Amino acid sequence: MKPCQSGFSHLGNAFGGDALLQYNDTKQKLLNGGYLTCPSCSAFFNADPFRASYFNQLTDAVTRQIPYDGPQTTISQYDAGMLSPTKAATNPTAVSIMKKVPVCALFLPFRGPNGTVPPTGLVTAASQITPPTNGLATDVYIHTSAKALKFLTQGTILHEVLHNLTGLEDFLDLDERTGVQPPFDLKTLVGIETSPGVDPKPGTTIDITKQLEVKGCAGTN
Amino acid sequence: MQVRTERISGLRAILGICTFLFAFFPAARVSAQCAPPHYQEGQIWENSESTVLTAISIHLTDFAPPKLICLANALKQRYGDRKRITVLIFSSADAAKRYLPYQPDYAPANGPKQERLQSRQFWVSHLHALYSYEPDNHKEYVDVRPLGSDSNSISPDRTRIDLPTTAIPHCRLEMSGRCLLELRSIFYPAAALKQKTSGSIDLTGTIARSGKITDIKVAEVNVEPAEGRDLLANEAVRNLMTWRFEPREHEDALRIAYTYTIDNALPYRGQTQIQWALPNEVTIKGNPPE
Repeated sequence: MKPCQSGFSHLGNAFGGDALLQYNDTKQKLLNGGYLTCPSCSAFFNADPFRASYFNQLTDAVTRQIPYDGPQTTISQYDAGMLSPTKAATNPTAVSIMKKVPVCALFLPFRGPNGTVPPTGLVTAASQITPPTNGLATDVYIHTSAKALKFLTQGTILHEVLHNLTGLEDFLDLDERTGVQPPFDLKTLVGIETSPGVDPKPGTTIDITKQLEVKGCAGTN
Repeated sequence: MQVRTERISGLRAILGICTFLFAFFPAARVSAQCAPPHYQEGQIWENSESTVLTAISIHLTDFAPPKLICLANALKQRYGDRKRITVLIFSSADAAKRYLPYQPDYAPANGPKQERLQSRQFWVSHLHALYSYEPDNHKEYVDVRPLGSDSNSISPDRTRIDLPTTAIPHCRLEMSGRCLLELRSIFYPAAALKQKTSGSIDLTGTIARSGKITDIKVAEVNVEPAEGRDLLANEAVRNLMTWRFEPREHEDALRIAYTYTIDNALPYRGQTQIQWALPNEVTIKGNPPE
C-alpha cells in the first residue's frame, strides 16, 4: 500500500468489497438486535441527564452514519470535521496542523515535508465530530485492512456514532476543559472517568466501546 | 611601567563600555553570548514562503527561560523572513515526531508501551513550550507550559515571555529562583472527592542540583475525615515526585502544602480547579459529584 499523502479531494473515499460488507452486516446487527432500545441500555442512558438527551437519537444516528475508507482518504483531518468545535474556536495551532494532515495519516505512514511519520498504533476508526454547515455529522473513517477489521464491532460503530451525535472527543484533560461545558468528553459521558480530568486508561479508547457493550447498548458478536 | 598603565587604562575602558552597555541596554544581558540549546527537528507541517509550522525537541533542562529566549532568537534567525512562525517545543524527540492534535480510536494495544504510544495525553505532556512570531501583528513570544499542554487556554501554571525582552523573566511557578520546568497533572482523587475528604498535606524535601526533588517527607497532615489522610498524602507525594526544576550548582530546601478544599461554588459537579501560591502552597479545589 502506498504511503499516505495530502490530496486535493474534498470528499472522503467511499469503499466496497469485504470491508463494506462487514460494516453493513455489523451495523444491521446493531440496529436489528434491539440493543439500542433495550431496557438495560435505556436505564444506562437515562441514569444521567447528559446521556439521557441522546438515547432517543441513537437509532437514527446509527442509520444515517456513512462509512468511508480511512487509508484512502486524502482530505485534511480539519475538512473531515475531526476537530471539535471548541478546539476549532480556541486552538489555532491545532486548526493549522489538522488542515495540513490528511485523514489517511491516522491509518498509514504519512509522507510529510520532513520524512515519513508512522501511525502511532492500529487505528480502527476515526469520526467526524464537527457537523458541516447546515448539516449533521455522519461520517466515520474505517480502517479497511483485514487486521483492523477484526476489531470493527457493534460497539465500535456505536462509539463512533456517539462522536457524530455529541461532537465530543474521547477525552479532554483538565487544561483542555477550560471553557467547555460538561460532560466534556465521551469517557465522562459514558461514566468511566474516575478522578476529574484524569484519563482512567490513557492510550486506549476501547474502554468506551466496552462500556457500551457492558451496558447492553451493543452486541458482542 | 608606562606600558602596563596603558594596558590597565585600556582594560578599564573596555570594562567601562561593557558596564555602560549592560546598564543602558539590558536586552544585551539576555541575548549577548547567547548559545541556543541543541534541538532536534520533529514534524514539519508547513514550510512555505510565508509560514513555518513545526515541532522540535530539546532537553528538559533547556526549558529554562534564558535558554528558551536564546532558542527563540535562533529560530527567528532561521525562519525570520516568514510572516508566521509557530514552533511546538517538546521535551521528547519521539513526541515531536508523532504528536497530533486528534486522537482516533485504536485497536487494543500490545502492552503498556504501545498503549503509551497511542496516548495523545502522553505526547501532550511533553509539550512544554510554544514559540510564536507574527511580525505583521507585532507578536513574538514564548509560552512556557510546565504541565505540558497543546491547548491555548490561559492557565496559571504558564509563563508567557513577550519578546524581545529586556531582562530574564521570572517563571510564574518557581522556587528559590528556580523555574518549575515539568510536573504531572495535580488532581483531587475521586474517592476523596466523593467522600468530601479535605485538608492539608505539608511536604518537605530538597531540590537537588539536577532539579529533581529528593528526600520527600510528609511533615504534617490535617485531613478530615481522618480515614482519608493516606489517600491525599500519597497523592501529594506522588505528584511532588514528578516536579523538575532548573538545575543549579546548589541544593535548595522546600516546604509546600497541598491543600485539598471542597468547593461547591465551582460551576459543575465533579469539577476541580488548581490554584498556585508557590513557594508555599498549591490548592486543589473540588466540587463533589452528585
